[in-house]
Amino acid sequence: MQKETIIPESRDNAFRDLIINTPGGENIPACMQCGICAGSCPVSHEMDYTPRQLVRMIQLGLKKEVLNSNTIWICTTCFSCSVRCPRGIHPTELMETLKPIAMKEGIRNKNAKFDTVFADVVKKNGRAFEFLLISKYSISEPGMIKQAPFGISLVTKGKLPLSIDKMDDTRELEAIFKLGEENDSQETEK
Amino acid sequence: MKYSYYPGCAQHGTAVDYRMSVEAVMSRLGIELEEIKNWNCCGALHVDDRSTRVALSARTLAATKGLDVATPCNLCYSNLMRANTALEDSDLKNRVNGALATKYESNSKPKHLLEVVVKDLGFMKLAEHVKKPLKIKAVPYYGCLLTRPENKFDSPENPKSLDDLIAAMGAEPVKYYYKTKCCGGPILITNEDLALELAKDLLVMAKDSGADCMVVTCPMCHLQLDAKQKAVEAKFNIRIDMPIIYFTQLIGLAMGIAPAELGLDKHLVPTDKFISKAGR
Repeated sequence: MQKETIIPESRDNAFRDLIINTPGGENIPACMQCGICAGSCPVSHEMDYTPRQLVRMIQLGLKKEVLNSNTIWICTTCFSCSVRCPRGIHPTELMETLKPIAMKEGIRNKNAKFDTVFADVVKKNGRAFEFLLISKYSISEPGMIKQAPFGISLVTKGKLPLSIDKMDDTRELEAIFKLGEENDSQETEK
Repeated sequence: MKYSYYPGCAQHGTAVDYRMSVEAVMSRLGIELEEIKNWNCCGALHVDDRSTRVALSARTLAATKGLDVATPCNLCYSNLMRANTALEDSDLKNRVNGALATKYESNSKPKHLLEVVVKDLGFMKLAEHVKKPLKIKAVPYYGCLLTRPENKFDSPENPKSLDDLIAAMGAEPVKYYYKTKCCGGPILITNEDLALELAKDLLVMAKDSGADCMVVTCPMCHLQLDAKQKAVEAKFNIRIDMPIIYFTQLIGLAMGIAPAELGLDKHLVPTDKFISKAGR
């Protein structure tokens, strides 16, 4: 296999420092590339870079490659890597950190779309009302039509109510979801 | 025994069977669950902004009136546990409290219902309620978020609480190496091929173990392993036919509660053969 040379110009130290300074990111420089994370990961075979590789890429400041990797989105958030890492790095939490950064950089995919729809449904109703969630997501994902028989089987069993489940009073949600917007403006100020 | 109760969104939808069994079993065990008024979603694994996600759980933890907060859902449990830890950061706590009507104080302990049953109630008391020991073999499947990334009651590598619960019901917990391996639930909607592959591995190993059912503690695992089991069978051209039973349903059966009251007729994988084998 041909090896790629990493040239200094492709390294972004500001990106590296940004990630290291996020909660849980402080141990990233200590990674010794043991690979326990990749070995524990149930889905690393589908990733373009394993969690071990991704951590190394962050050490090297390879911003573009990190944010464009499918690793962030393939992760099932099972935390197997996080509880096993002997250096106290939390790769699952790292994926959570990278998701909003990638989305801000314009990365769009099914998972990003689903998360956006999910957050929107919760912001408006306070509950992850499943029927609304799936309907809204399906509008932008025509492939979801294949899931219609599955949806019907759930409805038949009384497991997918069609009448909305929401909080009686949703007023507090606006302030809660504003916390995310404040984060954005804090970052711009920096 | 009284707890503040946080059901989580799935209890109002795909996990209606779980809800029915929780309601049937907990009151009979003398466990009082006072549902939090006007509760909100924990954000599951899909609210990507960290402060928002923490605040959603902080609001729940602030509404518990000093009682421990019990939840039947692995995702909710994990988010509540993680929020408590994240809020040790006083800057974050101040920002989050700025958005909350009732301020968060770190005085409520999140507990999964399994912990409430096996630790707080305990096996001695639980055994008094067993009327019909179940003559079956069962897979103890814990999933991910019950023991990871943090919990205060069982091992993330080799948990035993559900094994012990199965044994306390007179049933035999089988040896199962995928106790805590991910079922694929969180990526079911966005990456179905991979999600079904993960579920297949769990179901095939369960089948090979000779078990009569898999016992679960999470609505997401149940959706994936029960409701999607047919899709797994079709995709991989295999026959599984493995009933997926909530731990509360298992307790209910051993207590002699009618299967319909436990929501066992609401599963997509038929449970009748399992129920008759269990000795009813």
